[in-house]
Amino acid sequence: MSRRLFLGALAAIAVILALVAAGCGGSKKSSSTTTGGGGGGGGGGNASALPASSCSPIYYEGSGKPEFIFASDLPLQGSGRTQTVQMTEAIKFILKQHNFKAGDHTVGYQSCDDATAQAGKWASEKCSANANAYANNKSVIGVIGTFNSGCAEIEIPILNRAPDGPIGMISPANTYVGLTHAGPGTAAGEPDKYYPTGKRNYIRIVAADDYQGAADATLAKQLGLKKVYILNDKEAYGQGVATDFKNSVSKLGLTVAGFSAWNGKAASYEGIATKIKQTGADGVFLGGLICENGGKLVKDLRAGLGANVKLLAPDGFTPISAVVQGAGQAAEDMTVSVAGQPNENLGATGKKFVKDFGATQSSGQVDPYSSYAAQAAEVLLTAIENSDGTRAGVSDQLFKTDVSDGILGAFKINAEGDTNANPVTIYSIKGGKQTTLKVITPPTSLVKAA
Amino acid sequence: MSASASTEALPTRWVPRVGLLPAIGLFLVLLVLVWLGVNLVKEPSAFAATFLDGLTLGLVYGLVALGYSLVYGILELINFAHGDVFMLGSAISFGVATNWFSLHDTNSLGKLIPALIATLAMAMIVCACLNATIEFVAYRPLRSAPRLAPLITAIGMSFFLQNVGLRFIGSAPVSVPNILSHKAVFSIGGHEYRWYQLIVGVSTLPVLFGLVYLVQQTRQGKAMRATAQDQDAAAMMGINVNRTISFTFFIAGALAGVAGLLYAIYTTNIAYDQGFTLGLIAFTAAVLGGIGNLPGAVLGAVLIGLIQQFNEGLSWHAPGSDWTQSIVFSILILILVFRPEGLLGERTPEGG
Repeated sequence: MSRRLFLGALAAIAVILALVAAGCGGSKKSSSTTTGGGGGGGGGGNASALPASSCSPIYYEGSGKPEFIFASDLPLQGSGRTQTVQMTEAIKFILKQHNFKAGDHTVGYQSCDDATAQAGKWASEKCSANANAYANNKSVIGVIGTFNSGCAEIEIPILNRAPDGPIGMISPANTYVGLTHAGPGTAAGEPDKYYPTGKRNYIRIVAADDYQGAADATLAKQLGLKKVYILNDKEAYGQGVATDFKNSVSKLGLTVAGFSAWNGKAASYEGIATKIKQTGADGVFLGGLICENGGKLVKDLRAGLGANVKLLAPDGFTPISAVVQGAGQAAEDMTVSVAGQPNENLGATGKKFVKDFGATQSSGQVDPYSSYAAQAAEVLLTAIENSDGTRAGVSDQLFKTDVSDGILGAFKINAEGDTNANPVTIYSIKGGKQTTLKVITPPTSLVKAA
Repeated sequence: MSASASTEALPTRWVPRVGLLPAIGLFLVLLVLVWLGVNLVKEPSAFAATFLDGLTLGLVYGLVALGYSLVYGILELINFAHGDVFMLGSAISFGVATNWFSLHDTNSLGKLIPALIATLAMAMIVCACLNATIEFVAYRPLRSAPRLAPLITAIGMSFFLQNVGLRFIGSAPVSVPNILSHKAVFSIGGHEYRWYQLIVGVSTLPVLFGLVYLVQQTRQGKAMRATAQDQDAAAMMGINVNRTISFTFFIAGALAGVAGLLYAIYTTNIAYDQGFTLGLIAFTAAVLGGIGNLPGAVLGAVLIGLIQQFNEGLSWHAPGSDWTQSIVFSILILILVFRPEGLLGERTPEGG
């Protein structure tokens, strides 16, 4: 009997091990945890750190302790890791350039992770835990993030209700339309349901999916496509961008051959390929994320449809290296649109950043998103500098953003938190590498239709 | 026994015994047949291509379903970890085939065949030993515990193995190079059926026949069937029950290894969580066919493969890919309502 108990205990330990492994799969760096207490507020400079379970130690090299901290909230695990880790490096680079100061305030930075190793992408439970940690830590004056719109949907309302808030949030990457304004692809009650206090606290510096859908539709027209089939991965982002694309191509006079979903857990998409082939479509739009088995989908579509049917994907299929890794040869010639502009199109200030920051990176390469993260850090530091040193003050200042010569050039933020600079870059995969095909800034009339 | 008695009585009483439930069942089957027929007439080439794709996919599912069915037949235990052993089988095959042999479809047959056999042997041995170890560590100590206990350890094991897979594979699906030729065997109206599909699909059949032979014809199989029927009585007859159960898990593990390799070749993508999803489908297939019944498991799997591909591939009034999962499980519910023992269920060991 005791032997059985022992073995039972062994089994139980195995289960616990499995769960522990699930929890710590990301191999976090350990860091000194500072005990809580409300810091900030005055000029004292005794900011307390966010929990080490999700966040890096405070990055601060100024004198004493920083008065405030700001956090970035990005998915630091999964296929996009190289990209997002470099974004955090870019934020550090900008903060250091400013000598850890925003006007009279000293500022430290923590990088927080909203992904789990299991999911390999953002996870809702991490997003809500992170947002609550920001809200409850009085030293947190602003947040850069999120990367994924689904995560932003969770975090914005929590930061909106934060004490002494709202806490201002600036995203370098979210593209889902409903976060800032209503449109054909958005759900009922958006965007107001994200702002329970009625006060806006979220801005983004990339074009929303209505621009991206319109840009991809413009691309489809320019490629001479007549009939497109549209797939989506059933997620908010995927359905949204797919709907925007559908409305835009219809407006441009292309035929929509079909609109259906793919299941990210399926073992085969051969049936879907057969069906698309029957419709005679000459292009397929993949509205969704690469991590929803996108690689296999591209493989099966390419095998079933042949080389002549164009595959168009939105920025859910980034980083492009993950598409190549997942789909191999089948990814050849497909296009991926990314909100924003490529580094080679940046102005003098942007080019200087890419050169200086690139020199600090071992790869020497600067991902376009790093430029966006750096710009977001600049905007946030300016807002802190111009604020009265309160959360609500910083949030208000974010909406007064008017950059004349930034890393991304000149742009303004409107009352809804959207930028007025909305270029979308189309990349094409050639020889397993991304090459910039063109930059499309779709006309407003088309975006309105999206 | 009782079945043959009622068959004799059938001719005279058959007509009045058609009740409401079977009538509805027949009607539903007819409806599906009409739907398939119309699609066949409207788009014969797409129908044929979809049929072949579904058949192949189903045969791949079948390999995993066999492992579930084998273990359930002996122990009445749903070995949830089986799907994850299968996943590790894929990971090992991938590692061996690409890192040791750098296999690719451009290799000559002289290199490909021995390398594939070595890969297969490696995957089978590792998975077989792993599965037998799992039984020893997580199920054997709980054999006289309430039936819920080993079910929970099975789920625990499943999570554990998933995390092992996560370490090796990473969270993103990994692309496997084309190991078998992706050239077309034949083409129906522009839809190509390829060599790798043919080879992978056909491979399930010898595995099924070998397994049925093992269980039905050999001494070891007799011991397995006896253990399935009554462990105490089997032990009294001199059968080493523990060894027999270990052997069953060993064979099931080897099956998972075969399935792992073939799946990696077939989908050309492996992921650390493929075992969970595929395990669920394979388990459903095993229940659909009559759990514990080996040909039933393959039949159930083929049906699920066909349902999935027909639903996604046909154009005339097909619900489409938005509904695939819902349809598969609705059909499972329907079949179980009309035939609770599964399609070929009457031959389960515990059914006598």
